[in-house]
Amino acid sequence: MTELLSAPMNPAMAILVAGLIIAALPWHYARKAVMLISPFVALFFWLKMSAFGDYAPLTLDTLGMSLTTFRFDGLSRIWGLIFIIAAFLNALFALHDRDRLQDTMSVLYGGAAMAAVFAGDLITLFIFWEMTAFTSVFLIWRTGTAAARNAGLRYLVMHIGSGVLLLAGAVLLHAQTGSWAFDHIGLEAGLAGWLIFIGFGIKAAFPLLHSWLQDAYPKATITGAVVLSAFTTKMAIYALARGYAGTEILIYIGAIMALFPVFFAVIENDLRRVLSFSINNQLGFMVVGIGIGTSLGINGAAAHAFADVLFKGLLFMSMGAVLYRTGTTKASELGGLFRSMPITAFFCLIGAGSISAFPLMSAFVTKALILAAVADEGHWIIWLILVFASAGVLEHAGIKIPYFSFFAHDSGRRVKEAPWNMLLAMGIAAFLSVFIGVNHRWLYALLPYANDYEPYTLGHIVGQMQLLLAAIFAFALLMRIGWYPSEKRMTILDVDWFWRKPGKALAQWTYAIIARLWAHSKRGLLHTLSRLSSMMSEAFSPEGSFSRVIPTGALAGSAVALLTLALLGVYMAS
Amino acid sequence: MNALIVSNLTALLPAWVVMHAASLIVVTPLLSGPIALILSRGRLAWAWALVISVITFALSLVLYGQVLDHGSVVYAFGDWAPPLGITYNIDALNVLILLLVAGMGVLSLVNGLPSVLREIAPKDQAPFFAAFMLCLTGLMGVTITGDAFNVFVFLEISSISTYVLVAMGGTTDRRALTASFNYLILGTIGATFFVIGLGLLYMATGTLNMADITAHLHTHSEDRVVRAAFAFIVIGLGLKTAMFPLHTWLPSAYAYSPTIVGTFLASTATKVAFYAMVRFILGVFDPGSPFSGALLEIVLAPMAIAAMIICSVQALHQADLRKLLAYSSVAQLGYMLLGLSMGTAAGVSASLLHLFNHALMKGALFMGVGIFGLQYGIRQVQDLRGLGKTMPLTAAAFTISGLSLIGVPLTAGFVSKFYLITAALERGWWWAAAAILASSVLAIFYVGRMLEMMYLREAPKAKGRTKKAKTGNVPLLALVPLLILALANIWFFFDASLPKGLADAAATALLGGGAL
Amino acid sequence: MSAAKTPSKSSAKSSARKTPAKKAPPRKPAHDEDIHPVARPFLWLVSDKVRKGFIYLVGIAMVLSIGADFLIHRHGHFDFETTPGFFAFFGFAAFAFVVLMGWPLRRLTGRSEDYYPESTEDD
Repeated sequence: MTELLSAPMNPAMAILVAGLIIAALPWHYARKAVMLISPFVALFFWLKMSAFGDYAPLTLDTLGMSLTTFRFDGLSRIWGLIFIIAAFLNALFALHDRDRLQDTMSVLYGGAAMAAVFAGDLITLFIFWEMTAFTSVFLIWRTGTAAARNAGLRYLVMHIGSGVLLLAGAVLLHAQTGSWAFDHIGLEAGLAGWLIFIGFGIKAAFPLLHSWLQDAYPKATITGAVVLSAFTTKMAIYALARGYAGTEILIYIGAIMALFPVFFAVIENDLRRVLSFSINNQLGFMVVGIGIGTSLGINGAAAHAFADVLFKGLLFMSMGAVLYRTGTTKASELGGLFRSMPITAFFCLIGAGSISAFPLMSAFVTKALILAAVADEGHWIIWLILVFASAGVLEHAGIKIPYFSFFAHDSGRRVKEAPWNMLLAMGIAAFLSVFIGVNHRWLYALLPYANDYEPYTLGHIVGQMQLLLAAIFAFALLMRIGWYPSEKRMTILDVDWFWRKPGKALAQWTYAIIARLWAHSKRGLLHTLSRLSSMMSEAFSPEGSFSRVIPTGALAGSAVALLTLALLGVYMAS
Repeated sequence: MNALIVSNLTALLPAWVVMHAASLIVVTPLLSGPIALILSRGRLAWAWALVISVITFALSLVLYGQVLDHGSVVYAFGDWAPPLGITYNIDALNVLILLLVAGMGVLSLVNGLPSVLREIAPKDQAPFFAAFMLCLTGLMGVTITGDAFNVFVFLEISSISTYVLVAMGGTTDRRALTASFNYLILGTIGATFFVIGLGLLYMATGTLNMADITAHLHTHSEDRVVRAAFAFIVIGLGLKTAMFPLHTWLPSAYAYSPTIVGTFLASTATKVAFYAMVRFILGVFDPGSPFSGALLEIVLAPMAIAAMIICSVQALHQADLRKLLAYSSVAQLGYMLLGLSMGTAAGVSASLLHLFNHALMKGALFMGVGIFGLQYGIRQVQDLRGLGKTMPLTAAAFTISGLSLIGVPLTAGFVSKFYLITAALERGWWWAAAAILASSVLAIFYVGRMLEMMYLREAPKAKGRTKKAKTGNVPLLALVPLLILALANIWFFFDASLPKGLADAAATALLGGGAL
Repeated sequence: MSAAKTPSKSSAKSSARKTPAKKAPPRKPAHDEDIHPVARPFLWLVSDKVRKGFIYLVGIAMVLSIGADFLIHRHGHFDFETTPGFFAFFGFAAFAFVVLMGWPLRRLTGRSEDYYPESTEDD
C-alpha cells in the first residue's frame, strides 16, 4: 500500500478518471463533489513527485513505440500545477450549474490539457491535443444559439486541423529521426518542423490563425468561457516552449500578437470579446519570451502563463458573473454595477490590476522577466513594442473591463451580487494573483530554470508607475475632452471575415453564375460537370454500371487482360 | 501471457495430439464433414461443427506454441522426407492465419446458429454445416501446407464448398444463385491460372515442394518459364483474393449468401488467398528478382490503390448494408496488397497486421448486421435509423468496429493503418500514404453514414420499432461473439504483441531482416 | 481609475430587456435602497467631487513619479530608457495613440450588429 502511495502518479489521470466518473454519475451533487475533489487528488500526485524524470511508460507494441505518458520536469511541473489550480477554480465557479454535459466535458477538457502537458512523446501529445478540441467545443455549443453552433463548428475545424498538422509533422519527424520523443523540434527539421509549428500556432492563436479565439470564446457559456480561457492557449504555449524555444521568428510573431489586439479591443463592445483579444495580447508576450529562448525568456513565458491563467480566469469569471446576473456583457448596456455587485467589482479590479502589472500584483513580477530577456538580447524595437502593448493592456483590460461594467454611467441595473461559489472562486484567484505579486520568490522557484531576477528594484517600480499613471492620466484626459470612442453596439470585423463574407459570397456568386450559365447553355463546362456527377452515380449507385452484374465473359476478359499486363511486366523487367 | 496459456494447453493434451497437431488440424475438420451430414438435425450438426472448430482452434494454439518455441516447424507426412513426401510447414506467417481462421470459425459458428435456423431449410441444415466444415478444411489446408500442388487442392476444396454455401442463400434471396455462379466461373478461371502457373513451375524445377522449388529457382531466375509461372500464379491468386478489378464476384457473394457465410468468408477466405499470394511472391519466388519487383510495382500497387479509392466510393453509394461492407472489404484488401507491393519488411508486416485487424472489424460488422437482420429484418442502410436507442449494446459494438474500420485512434484499425503509412513513407511512396489517407477519409463517410442513421435519426414508428428491443429477443449466442470482437478491436490497440510479433517475424523471415 | 460620467439618462434600451434589472430610473445613488450594503461606504467614489478631481489626482501622482526620476537613477538596458520621464512620456503617447486609433479603425471594421446573419438570433 505504501509502495502504491509513493509510486509516481500522473496528476492528469486523476482528472481524466474524474471526468469519466462524472459522465456516468446521474446525481448532481455527487458530480460536483467529484469535480471539486479531483483537483486535490491531482495536487497530491503533483506534490509527491520528488524527482524529475519520465514515468508511466506505456509500451504500445502495437505501434512499436514506447510512449511516455508522464514526463515530470521543470517545464511540465509548473504547467501541471497551474492547470490543477485552474481545474479547481473552474469546478468551484461552475458549482451552481446543473449541466452534466458541461461538467463532463469541462473536466475531461482540463484533464486532456494536463495530460498533453505531461506527454513525453508526440503521439500522446497528439491524442490529448485532439481531445481538448473535441471536449471543449461543447462548452461553446452548449450556449444553444445558432451563432454559437456555427462558431463552434468553425472552432472545431481549426482545432482538428491543428491536430492533423501535428500528427502529419510527427510522422514525418519520425521518418527523419526515428524517434517519437517530444523534445526540441525547431524549424530546422524542415517540413516536419513547419507542420508542427503551424499546428501549435493555430492553438496559440498566431496572427491570421487567431480568429477562432475571438469568434468562439465570447459565444461560449458563462462557465465555458472561464474554462476555455485557462487551457487551450496555455497548452499551446507550453508546446511551443518545449519544441521551439529560441526560434527567432517567434519573437516577431509574438510582437505582432501582443500589438494588434490592443487596437481592436478599444472599439470592441462585447466585454468578453475584449477579454478574448486580451488573451491574444498576453500570449504575444509569452511567445516573444519563447522566441528569445534564453533561460530568462523561457522562465518569463512560464511565469507569465501561470499568472495569466489566474488573472485572465479571474476577469472572465467576473464578466461571467455579470453575464449571469444581467444577461449581457455589452459595454453599451452596462455601467454602475458596483452598486449591486461590489464584491465582484473588487475582485475584477484586482484582476485588472494584475494584468496591468501594478506593483505587488502578478504580472508585475512575470512580464518583467520577458521584458528583461528581450532587453538582454538587445531587441530594442521589440522591447518598445512590448512596452507599448503594456500600455494597451492597461487600456482594455485594466480600465475598460472594470470601468464600463462596474463604474461609468449608471445603467440603472440593480441585480443581486454573484452567487457565493462564484465569489469564492474569484476570491481565490484574486488572492493568488496578489500572492504571486508579493511572494514572487515562490513562483520563481517553480520555474524551469534557476532564476535570480529581482523585480522589486526602485527603478523598476518607478518606471512602471510612470507608465501606468501617465496612461491613466491620458484616459482621464481623453474622457474629459470627449475624444474617447464611446461604446457602441456593433460587430467588429476580424480575419474570419474573409471566410464568413467574401468566402461565402464567392460560394454564392459561383452558385449564381453556375445557375446563370446553366440557363444560358446546357453544353458548357458545367454541363459536363453535371454529367460527371450523374455519371458517378450511374457508375457507383447500386443500380449503376459498376455494381451491375457484369457478364461473366467480360469478367474472364478482364482477368485475361490483367494476366497479359502481368506477363508483359514480368518479361520486360531486366 | 500468451505463451503461458499455450504451454498449459499443450501440457493438457495427449502427447500424440501435440505431436501430430499439424496434420490433425486439417484431418479433423475434413473427416468431421461427412459425420455432420449423418447427424441430419440442424442443431446437432451445429453442435458437432462447433466442437470440431473449437478443437481446430485448440490445435492452432498448440501450433502457435510450437512456433513460439522453435521458430518454424516442418511436419512430414508418414515420415517421408521432403521433397518426396508431402510436408506441412508451420512458421510465424501461417500460424497467424491459422489462428485467425480457426478463431473466426468458432466465433462465426456461435454467432450464426440463430440465423442458420432461420435462413436455411431444416433439411439443408446438416449439409450446410458439412460444407462449412469442408470450407474450413480447405482454408486450413491452404494455409498450412508446404506443398505447392496441395495448395491448389485445398484452394479448390474451400472454393467449391464456398460456391455451395453461397448458393444456399438462394432460399431467402434468389440473387444468391447468380452470385454463386459468377463466383464459380471466376474462381475456376483463377484456379486454372494458378494450376497453369504450377505446371510451368514444375516444368522449370521438377518439384512441387515449396522449399525445394525455392532452392531450384536460385539457378533459374532468368528463365522465361519461371517468369510466366510467376505471372500466372499471382493473377490466379489475385482473383481469389478479389484483387481489383477481379473483385466483382465478391460483393454479391457476400451480400446474398446466408448471414453466417458472409461473416465467415469476409473475415477468412480472401485473407487465406492473400496469404497464399504472400507465400508465393515472397517465400517461393525470390522477392529480390527483377520480375518480382516489376510485377509488384506495375500491377499490384496500382490495382491496390484503385481498389482503395474506387471501391470506397462504391461503398459510399451502396444502399444494401452487406454490399457496403463487401465493397469496403475490397478496398481494405487494397491496403494489404499495397503493403505487400512495397516489398519491404515493414510493408509486409503492416499488411499482415492489417489482415488480422480487418478480420476482427469486418467479422464484427457482419455479425452486427446479422443481428440487426435477425431482430428487425434489416438489410438496408436507411433501416438502421434509431438503432442506437433501440439496440444500444449491438449498436455500440457495431460502432466500435466501424471506428476501427476508419482507423480512429484507440482502435486496432489505427495501428495497422499507421504502420502502413509509416512503411509507405519509409519506402518513399508518399503517394501511397496519401492514398491511404484519402481512402480513410472515404471510410469516414461510409461508416459515418451508418452511424448517422443509428444515432441521429429517429426510429420509424411502425413495426414496433420505437420500443427498446427486449434483450431476450437478441439471442445471447449471437451477441457474445460480436462483443468479443468489438473488445478485441480495442484490445489490439493497446496490446498487439500477438499479431505484431508474428507479422514482424514473418516479414523478417521472408525478406531477411530488412527495415525492422 | 473610476472617472465617471454623469449618471444620466436611464437607457430605454436596457429597460426593454428581459433581464433581472430593475426598470426604475436610478434616483440619487445615496438613497437607492437596492444598493448592496457593501457598496454603500464607497458611493463617494462616484461623487461629483471625486469624478472631477480624479484627473488632478492622477496628474499629480504622475508628476511625482516623474520627479522621482531626478532623485534616483533608473538602471536600464537601453540608453533612451534612462531618460527622466521616459516611461511617462511613452505611456501617455502609447495610450493616446491606441485610443485615438479607435476612431479610424472603427470606421474601417465596424459594422452593424446583425452584419453576420446568424448573429441576429443571438439576442
